[in-house]
Amino acid sequence: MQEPDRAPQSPAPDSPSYAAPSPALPRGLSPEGRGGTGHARAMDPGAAGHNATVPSESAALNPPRPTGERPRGSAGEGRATGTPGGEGGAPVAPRSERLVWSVVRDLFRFSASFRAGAVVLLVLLVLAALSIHAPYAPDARRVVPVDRPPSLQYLLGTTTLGQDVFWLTTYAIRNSLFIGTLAVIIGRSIAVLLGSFSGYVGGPVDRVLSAITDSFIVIPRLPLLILISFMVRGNLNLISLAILLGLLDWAFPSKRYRAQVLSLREEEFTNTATFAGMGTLKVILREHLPFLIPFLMADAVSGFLFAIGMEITLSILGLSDLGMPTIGTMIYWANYYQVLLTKRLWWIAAPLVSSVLLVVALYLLSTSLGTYLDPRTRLKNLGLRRAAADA
Amino acid sequence: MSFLRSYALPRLVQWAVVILVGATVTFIIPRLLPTDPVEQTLNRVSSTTVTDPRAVESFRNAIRDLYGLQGTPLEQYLRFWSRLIHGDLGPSLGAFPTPVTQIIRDGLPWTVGLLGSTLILSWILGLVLGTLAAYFSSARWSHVLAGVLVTIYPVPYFILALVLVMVFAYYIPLFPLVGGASGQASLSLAYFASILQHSFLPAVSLLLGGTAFRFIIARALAGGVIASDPVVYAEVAGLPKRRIIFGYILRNSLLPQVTDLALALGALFEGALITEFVFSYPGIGYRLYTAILQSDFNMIMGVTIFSIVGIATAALLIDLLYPLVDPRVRYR
Repeated sequence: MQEPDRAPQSPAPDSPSYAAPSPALPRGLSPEGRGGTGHARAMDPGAAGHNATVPSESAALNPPRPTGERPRGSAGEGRATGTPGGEGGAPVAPRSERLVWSVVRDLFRFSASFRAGAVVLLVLLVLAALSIHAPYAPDARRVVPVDRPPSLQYLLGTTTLGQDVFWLTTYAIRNSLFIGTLAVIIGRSIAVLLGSFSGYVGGPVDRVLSAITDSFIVIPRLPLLILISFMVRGNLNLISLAILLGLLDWAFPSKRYRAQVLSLREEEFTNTATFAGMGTLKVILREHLPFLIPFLMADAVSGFLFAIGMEITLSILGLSDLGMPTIGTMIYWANYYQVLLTKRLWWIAAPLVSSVLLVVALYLLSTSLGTYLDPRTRLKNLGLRRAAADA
Repeated sequence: MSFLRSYALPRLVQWAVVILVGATVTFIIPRLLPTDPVEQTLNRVSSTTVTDPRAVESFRNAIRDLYGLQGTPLEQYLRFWSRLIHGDLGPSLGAFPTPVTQIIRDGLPWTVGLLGSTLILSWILGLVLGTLAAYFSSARWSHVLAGVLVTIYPVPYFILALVLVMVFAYYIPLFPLVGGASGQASLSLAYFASILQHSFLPAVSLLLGGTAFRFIIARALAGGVIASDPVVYAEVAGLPKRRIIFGYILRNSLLPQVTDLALALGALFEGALITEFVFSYPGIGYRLYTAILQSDFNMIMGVTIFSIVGIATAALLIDLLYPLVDPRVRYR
């Protein structure tokens, strides 16, 4: 429910190096379309981390190409001027990892919200990791005295089913994180492959794929999800739920990757790679993917938020595997045993608080990444860094 | 005429594609899944009563027919479409002979009322607040507002609605816990007041989420416009602030927000469904929830198809109204 499908159409940043093959802005919807010179404020963290702001083609056709570059701008340039297939077998993976790492390091240094989000997320990850040492199995019941309020022995109290809320919560966080991660991997893989294929190939194939993608953006997913999970009721374990969520969450990001590849396709290095005899898939994976990675990072978070929100929704409706502790099923059972009426708030507080912490932390990470992706912010940071080096 | 051809026609085609894709997906999914809805229904019925095999067999055929599962897949698909075009979504299994369309029609005014009013309100609120927050970005209230809304935004609707119920209907019983209205349906003032009172909390939960989303985007867009030349000149010329904010900044950041409305619609609709479960608000979402509890396959299927068609049509309408606000489309 989350949302609005979160679509960060970050206002296309205009930096000096930015030279997209801009097709005369048909609707001129982005503020930049009207000749604004942009401003650091233009790039709100919020909008960047999220989908669905500016659905206009014009904005979509102006992907911020420089975002692919490393902070010091070497990656992009290196690619563009690279010798024909020069680096030959140079594997992409290390380069991409370096890219991810440098982004994370910079973020940690310059963004307070990233630090806050990272710390909260770390705490939750530690909690999830603690579940390995849980004294009880995840589905064990009647192992502790029922309905005890929080105490030293039972940190967060116990449930009517005889479960220890603290250990149950560690399992719930772990399982919810697992669902989110798997769903994000599946959804983003489809999005990246389909979007970049569609953008790269172009022509009628692109038109058909785009029309289908647009349809999936408009179609409300919750009723579909309910229909599917209703039919496989009882067989929906963690993995199949994650797959289901992943299969439904690719349309909007796919559109964005398509837009980016559309402009990358016009770059010199794409021609070079094609003339060097690289196949379509290889060009997309080796040459274009590294440019998509920074966006992918912000986008993965919105996928995560979707998956967690939907897991909670389906569980509360009783449509997922209710024996498995997740944030959603914890709330389901707490509601089932009427914790509100019986004043056993500790049972429902734990999943509520951890879910809010989780989504807010992820969102903070995503928005700070969005701000960071704005070249203007990065230029400012570069200035800061240079000043620090001078001092 | 060229406007119709270059603007309206592609959108009509896209609308048809959305419905085609959506309906096809809902047709294919139940047939791809390993579970058989016919056997499921049969099991549920025959687990309570003992019947002889022949009766079971004829019952199986009856359900098969009811679900449109007779004949080859192509025949099923064609029949599926002919039923859809005639607006026939089959009978509800929970409230047996009542057609699904009838139940949806009963719930529709509630959902449309709730969704429509919150959509418009949250759109205006988010837009104005976001623009103001961007213009006065160094003010304290702007930071506080942004902090609150940015925290609310990623929280799942369910959690938001649940917390609202806990606080305002349970601990501080300001608002009724369930229902859409009390008393006899009439045109009286009291009845309207009760509708307002009942829909207040559901509306607030939707408003919070919708406003937060709109606020974040509006602030980002307005930030871009503020730095643009016209606004800078207006500042230098010393135009009144009100005119700068509403005449220049708000107006210029309005357009993407209008097209975005069509896309946000689906998400808000999902939010409305969830809100209705939580508040037992008698709209489509609540009926869907009842259908889940009653294992009413036809009803779930019907609501799914109906929501796809409904949202696609609403999105089309917003798109077609777009030229009213954007002169460039009109005069192209």
